[in-house]
Amino acid sequence: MTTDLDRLLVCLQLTDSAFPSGLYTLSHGLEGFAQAKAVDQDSMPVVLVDLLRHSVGPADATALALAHRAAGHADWATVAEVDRRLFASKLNREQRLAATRTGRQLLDTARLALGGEALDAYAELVAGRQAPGCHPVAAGVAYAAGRVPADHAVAGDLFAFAVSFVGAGLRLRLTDHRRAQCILREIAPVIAEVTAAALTRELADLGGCVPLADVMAGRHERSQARLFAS
Amino acid sequence: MTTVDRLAPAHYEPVHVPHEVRRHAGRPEALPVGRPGKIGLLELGFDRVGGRTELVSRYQKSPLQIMRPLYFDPARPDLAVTFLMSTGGGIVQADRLRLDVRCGADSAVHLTTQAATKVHRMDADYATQQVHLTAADGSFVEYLPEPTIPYRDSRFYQRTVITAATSATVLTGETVLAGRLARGERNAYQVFAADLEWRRPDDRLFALDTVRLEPGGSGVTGPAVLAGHDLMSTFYAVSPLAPAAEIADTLHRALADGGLPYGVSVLPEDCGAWLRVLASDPPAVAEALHRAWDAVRRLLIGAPAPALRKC
Repeated sequence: MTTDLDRLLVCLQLTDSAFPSGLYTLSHGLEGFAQAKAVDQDSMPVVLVDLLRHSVGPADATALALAHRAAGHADWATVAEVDRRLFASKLNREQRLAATRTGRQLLDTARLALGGEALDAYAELVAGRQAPGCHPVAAGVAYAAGRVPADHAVAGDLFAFAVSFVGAGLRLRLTDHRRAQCILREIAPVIAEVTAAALTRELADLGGCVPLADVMAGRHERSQARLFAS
Repeated sequence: MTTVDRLAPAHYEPVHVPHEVRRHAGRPEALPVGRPGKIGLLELGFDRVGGRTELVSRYQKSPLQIMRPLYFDPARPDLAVTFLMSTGGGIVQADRLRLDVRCGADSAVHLTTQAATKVHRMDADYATQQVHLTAADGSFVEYLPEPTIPYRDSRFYQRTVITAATSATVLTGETVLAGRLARGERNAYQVFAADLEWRRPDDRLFALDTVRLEPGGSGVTGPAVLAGHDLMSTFYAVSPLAPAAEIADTLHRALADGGLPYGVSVLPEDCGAWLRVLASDPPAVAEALHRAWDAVRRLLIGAPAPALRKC
C-alpha cells in the first residue's frame, strides 16, 4: 500500500460518522435554532454556512490546524496552549461539555485503533489536566499521528462536522436524506474557503463570533425537552 | 512602574492586531500614529484607604482623562465612581489608546464613560484601544462603558484584558451598535474587532470572547451572527460571591420578561456567568442591561444598581 493511500484511509476512518466520538449526540446549536423557530428547511444550510465561517472555522478548525502542526513537531506546550485557548473561548457550558466529552472519546478510540507516541503524549497532558482535551485538538493530534496532511485533516474534520450537523437536521425533520446529500455537496466551496483560512490563522486570532448562535445555545441549555446535548 | 517608556510603540501598540484590521495599516497624511493627541494614555491606581476607595495614582495623556472619583452610591458609599472621558470627541484613525487600571485589595471601583464611544470614518490606518484592568483580592470592580458606535468606513480593534484574583468580583458589559442608526447607517464600518480576555493573576487565560465583524468580508448579517439585529450587548459577572449557576439564573430571570432575544450561560471553571442579547431597540437593550446589572448586584453585594446621571 502506498503511503498516500494509507493516509487517506486514516482520514476516512477519523471522519467517518461511525467513529465513536459521540458526535451523534450533538446538534451543534441547530436544535436551539429549531426550538426558537429560527430555522426552517430553506435556512438550515445558511445556518450551517454561517457556523462554518464564523464559529467552527475560526475556532475549532483553527485549533485543529495549530494542534496538528505542533503535534508534528512534538511541541506539546503549544498543543496544550491551543487546547486551553479553545476551551476558554467556548463560553457556553453545553459547548464546553460537548467538546471535552467527544474529545476524550475520540482520543481513547484513536489510541486503540491508531496508537503511537503522539496520542500517548497528548493523553498524558489531558490526564494531567494540563490540557482540557477538546475534540478539535484531539483530532489534530490523531490526524498528525496518522500522518494525514494538514489540509486534508482540516477539511476532513469540517466535513465530519457538516455531516453531523445535517444528521441532526434529519432527526429534527429539517431535511430529508436526499436533500442532506445535496447540501453536503453544495457547501464544498465553503469548506475549502474555511480550510484555507484556518490553515493560516494565528493562535492570537483563534475564536469564533456567532452572537445569535450564542443566544440560541444559552436558551437550549434551559430548554425542558431536547434530543441533543448541544 | 515609572521606568516604562510610555511613548515607545511597544507600550501603545497592541502585541497583536487581527489581520482583518492590520491589513488597513497605513500612514495618514495628517496626524499619523505617534503625533500629539494620537497616543492616549490613562493609568489609574485605586486602593482602599480608611473606609473608602481612593484614587492613589494617576497618569493621563490627552485625549484620555478623568475628573476626580465621585462617591454617590447610597448603598456603597465607599465605591469610587469614575467617569472615563475623551477630549477628542471620539476615536479617529491612527489613534492608539491605552488604559491601565489597577484596583487594589478590597477596593470598590465603578468605571464608566460619559457618552457613547464614536469610532469615526477612516481612510488610512486604523485605531486601537487597549484596556488592562486588574482586580486584586477582595475587590469589587465594575467596568460598564456606554455603547460603541462604529461609523461608516471605520476600522477598530479593542483588546480588553481583565486580570481578576479568584476572590475579586468584576462586572463588565459592552454594547456595540451597527452604526448611526438614526441616519439609517447599518454595518457600514469596515471592521470592528474586539477581544475580551479574562485572566488570573498568574496570567492564565480562563475565558475569552472574540468579536470579529467585517461586513465586507465574510458578512455579519447571517443567521448565526447578527441576524439583522442592530445591537449586540454582552454582560459578564465573574465572582466567587455566589455559585455560578445562581448568577446565571439571576441574569436569566432579569431578562425573562423583556421580549428580547438573549442567552445566558455559565463561564468556564464556574467563575461566573454571562449574557448575550441582540436587538434593534437601543433603549430596550439599555434597560435590559440595567436590570441584569441591578439583579446581579443585589445577589452578590446586596445593593441595587445606582442611578448614574450622565448628560
